[in-house]
This record gives sequence, structure tokens and C-alpha cells, in this order.
Amino acid sequence: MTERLFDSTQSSFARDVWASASVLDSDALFAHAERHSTKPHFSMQTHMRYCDQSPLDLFERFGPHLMSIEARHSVEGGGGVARLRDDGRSLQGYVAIVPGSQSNVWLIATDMKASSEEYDRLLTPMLDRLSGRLLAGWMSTRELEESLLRLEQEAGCALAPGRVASKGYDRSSIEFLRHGSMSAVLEELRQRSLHLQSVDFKLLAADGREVLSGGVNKWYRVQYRGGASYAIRHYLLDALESRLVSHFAKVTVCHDTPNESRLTFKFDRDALMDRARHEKLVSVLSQMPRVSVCAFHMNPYLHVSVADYTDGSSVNLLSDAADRLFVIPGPRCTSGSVSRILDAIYNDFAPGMVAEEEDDKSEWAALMDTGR
Amino acid sequence: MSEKYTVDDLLTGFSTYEQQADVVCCWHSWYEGFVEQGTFDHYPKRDLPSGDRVTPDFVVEFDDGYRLVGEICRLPNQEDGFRRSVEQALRYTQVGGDADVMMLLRQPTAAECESRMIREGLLTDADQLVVVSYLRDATDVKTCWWFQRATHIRSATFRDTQLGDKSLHILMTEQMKSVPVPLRFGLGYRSRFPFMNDEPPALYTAAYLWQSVFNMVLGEDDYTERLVRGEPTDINVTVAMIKEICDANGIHLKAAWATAALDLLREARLAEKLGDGSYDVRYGKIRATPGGSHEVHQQIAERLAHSTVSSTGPEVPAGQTQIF
Repeated sequence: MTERLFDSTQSSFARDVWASASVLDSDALFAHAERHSTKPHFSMQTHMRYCDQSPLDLFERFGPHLMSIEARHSVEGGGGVARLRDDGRSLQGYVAIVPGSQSNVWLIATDMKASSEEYDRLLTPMLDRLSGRLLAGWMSTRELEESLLRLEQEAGCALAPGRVASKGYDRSSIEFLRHGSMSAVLEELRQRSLHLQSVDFKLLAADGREVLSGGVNKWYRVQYRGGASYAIRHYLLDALESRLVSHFAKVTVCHDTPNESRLTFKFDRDALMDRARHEKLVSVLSQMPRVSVCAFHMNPYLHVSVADYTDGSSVNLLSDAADRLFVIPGPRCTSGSVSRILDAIYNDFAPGMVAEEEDDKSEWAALMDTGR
Repeated sequence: MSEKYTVDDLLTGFSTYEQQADVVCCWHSWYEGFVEQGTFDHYPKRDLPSGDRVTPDFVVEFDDGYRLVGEICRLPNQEDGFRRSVEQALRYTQVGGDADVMMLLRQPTAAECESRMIREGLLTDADQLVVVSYLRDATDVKTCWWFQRATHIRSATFRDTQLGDKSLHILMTEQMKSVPVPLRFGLGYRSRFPFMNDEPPALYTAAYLWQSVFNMVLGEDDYTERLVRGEPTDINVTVAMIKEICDANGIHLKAAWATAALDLLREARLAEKLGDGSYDVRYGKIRATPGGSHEVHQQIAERLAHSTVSSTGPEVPAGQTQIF
């Protein structure tokens, strides 16, 4: 395979980013993107990941098992650009990696078209196989809503939703809703008990001009198609970065007291009412890739042990009441794994959120009054 | 099909043990979380005056010399077995100090069993053994274990009035109450005390090792390597290594239990015993068979029950067994 063949497929955006890898940071990345966004069909996908080391180092270290990799490092910040190649299929793509404004947050960006063969065979497997290291968070419907409303508010522009993907628990289909305003979409989702998965949107100035075109999904993937990159960076990405940091703070695993300290996942509504619902939850967990489950007890309370082969985490999930689930990390357990497990539960079982722990002592006292 | 195993028997043994381990955790939470007096010994070993060493299910020791010895009994119907079980529990009154024995029996049969003990002269009015029934109840919003005296016929009671309104004598004998212990409190102990003194069924230990111990054999980079290479690798374990991991994490597990579990996994074609006594375990997500279970303990049980492989038979190659 010759270099020339690949070069002919290289986009002008990728060429510029590759050439300026040594000085690439998020400002430079978005400046390149904005400049190239006037070209037809341009879009840049940005995956936000939580990681205590540079994703580029992980790409270089583990990626060669999957594909050919060449990296150019930035002089500062630990980022750079990776050229990914699948020689057998003559596929090539460029991925820019820049540190976010919060520590441990990284932006992994590419102009490869989502669901193109390059994207599916180069970037997707890389992110998937490194998912134990490059942690992907997730947002509840409310959090995603808040992020969108904040973008609208801070930019002072109307947010016009385009394609909206949502999901219910009783069906697996993705629905596409088209509406005039974001609030109408959100209201409809609420009424139909659907969860927001992703939104493509345009920001419209008061005079009706389209000032930004982009999209965002609940797994912190942001799409930039053109327009005011300042707005998407500062009114959306910055907010998402803070949200990602606080997401992983909420699921932090305390390693001092393994098997003892716990998190409480509080369901929005009763979700673990009976054996059938317990079995459903166990089934959802067992469908997770690279995870095995063992229900030590199914009913009337639930005790499931979860092993996550992504990174060797082990967690106990316990529930004694329909509206909550306790997450008790084992001695080897990562916050990434806790996040993945709760993501599966939220996405495929029932909505809820990590809540403050209740006080045992007062409950004991109240209980003795009920002795019969 | 295996003549040695049925899925039902394997799973019944698994859940019986799980339930008993839960009851011990429940009492642990009662004394540590609520009474806040006494020292709870989850894995007691005591020497009787006769020199015999006994291992009841739990012992709570108080500063003033009072002892509460807990023993969960599954009394066999058969006469000899029934008598021996009661005699064994009665011996626990000799563990030292002022010891009361709490004999825990499942509620549906507890009262009947106590009457039989009295009728057959196995238990006198003066024996410091109190029969307590246990029942798990999920009809409330929060699931509880309920404990109460099986019958109130005998005078023997708990000598723990020094605990005031947390005394079992006052609660269970004087006030004739059922004592509720919410599972929630015991649940916190389940992860730290997955085993009790009694020997677990090998299936229980095997499932525990698979879910909570084998994961610690590999390092962080090993997992990433496995993932990017796209193939699960066997892990090599020894009984000593398992014991060490458990000890380091405060998990009470006997070497013999680990051996039994590894041998069971070998029979289930999920492990291979090597010449040096170590085992190669096909560690990873176990491939579900069509119509088969997705849960580890059930998958092991199904593989055992459907095994036609003799104990020295051929091993299944790793690639056919586990996936990611």
C-alpha cells in the first residue's frame, strides 16, 4: 500500500490538523474546524473522555494490536494527532486528541463521517477496546436537557432541534421527532416516557440567521458541522466537561473500605417491585458486553454480583426496596465500571440517579417502634 | 447427562447456603449497628472443656462475661440425626462465660421442632438454649428478616437484660415481639462476609471466585491487552494464590473450599488442572448455550449437569467456552 493512495483520501481538515499537530490545542482544533466547515459535508465528531493519561499514549501503546498507528505529539499538553490505518482494507483516518479545560478530560475529534467504514473500523474499535482506560460518561435525560437549555440561554439564540433520537424501555426502537422548538420536543418525550439519546440542532440568531449547526448525544459525543465554534466550545463543551468531571466524582470508588462503602442509585419511580423486575435487571446486566453476573439472591431482595472484564472490576448490587439499588464496589473496582453499569441500568432498565446515602442509625431507631 | 449432578440440587444447595450466610450477616448488623455492644465473631472457633473444638455460626461476647452463641439448624426428620443436631447445639452452652444458645430454625417448622425436642426429652426447661424462628418478609416496603421465639413454652430465655430495651429477653420473651432486622443493614455485611463457618457448596465458592476473586489475578494492563487482542486468555491460579487474595481483602475462605471449587470448575470444563497442581481457568464471560442461563452459577450448574465428560476426560479448548 503506498502512502500516495492514502494521501489522496486525506481531507484538507485532516491535512491541516496533522501538519499542525505539534501546536495543537482545543483552540487550534476548533479554529481549523471552523475554517473547513464551509466545505460541503464537513462535520467534526468530538468524543469527550475521562482519563488520567493522554489518550494518544494509550492509542500508541495498545492500538498496534488493532491497526497501524502513527502519532504526532503536541509540544505541550499531551495531545496530538494519530493517523490510524487499516492497511488490509486501505482505510485511513486522522484523530486529533487535545486536553479539555478540566483536568483528566480529553477531546478526541475526527472529521471521519460517523458510521463511515473508516469511522467504524478505525475510531470505534479503538474507543471500544480502550473503554477501560478512556472512560465515557453518560447523561440522564434531564442533564442532557439542561445542557441544551444552557447552550440556548448563554448563546442568546433559539435552539432549533433537527433529528431527535429517543428511546423507551418497552421498545428498543429509536424514534425521530421533528418539532419547531426544543421545549415542545422535551415535553413530548416526557409525555411519552421516552429518553433523550441525541439531538441535532441549529442555533438561530434573532434575525433568523443560522449561527451554529451541531449535535450532542447522552454519551458526551458532540458534533460540530459549522458556524460559531466559540458557542459550541464555551456554551456546550465547557459545560459538558464540568458535568463529566462531576459524573465521575459521583461514582468515585472509595478504595479504603472495599466491600463496605456504597453508592445509592435512586430510581425516579419504583423499579424493583417484584421477582419479574429483579430478573429483568439481571437480564439487562447480563446483556452488557464483557460483563458476567451472578444473582446470589433474586427475590424478595436482590443481590447480584457483577464482574466486568473490561478492566477486572467486581461490584455487588443489592436492593431491599423497589426504589433503590445499592452499589458496593469490591477491592478491585473502577469508577468507570460503576458508570458503565449504571449507564446500562438507566438506558435499558429504569431511570434514576446517584443519591445521597441515607442514615442507618435513624432508621434503626424508627424500626424498633414497628416491632410486632 | 451427569449422574452426579442435577441443576436443581446444585441450585438448592447454593441458595440454602446463601440464605444462612445472610442470617449470620443479619445478626452481625444487629449487634454492630443497633445494639452497639459486644464483639461479634463471624467465624468463631471455641474449645469446650472436653477439649473438642467447635465452630458455631456466630458468637457475641460481652465484657461482663455474657455470651450469645448462634447456630442455624436444618434439623433432619430422621430420629438419630435430629437428636445429634440438638445435642450438638446444646454443647455450645459450654463455650465459656454465661453462654446462651440461640438455635435458629426456619419459621414454618420451628415451633413443631421445639415441641418435638421437648417431647423427646432432648431439651429440658433449664437448658440455656432458646429456639428462635426466622422468616424473610417482603410484604413491607423494605424487606426484613423477622425473628421470634418459636414457642414460648420453655422458661429458658436470653440472660441479656443488661442490654436494656435492646435485650432479646425483653423483646422476645417479655414483650413476645417479633424482632425485625431490615435486610438493608445485613446487606452491607454480605460483601464482606460472603462465607460463614459452615463449608459452602462448591458451586457457591466457584461462583464467588469467578465473580470476585479471579478478577484480581490480572493487572490493569492485562485487561487492556486482552481487549485489544480480542481474545480472552486463561488465567493460571493456585489455591495458595486464591487464599492470599482473600486474606488480603479480609475474606474468610478455607483452602479446602477453594480446592473443591476449582475441581468443580474443572468438571464443568471451565478449568484445567495442570501437573504442578495449579489450574488454568477459562476466565471470561461464559458463552450462553441456546436456551441456557446467562448467570454464572447457573451456567456452571448447567455445564455440570449436562456434562458427559469423565473427571479425566478431554478439556474443551478455551475459545469455545468464554467470550468477552
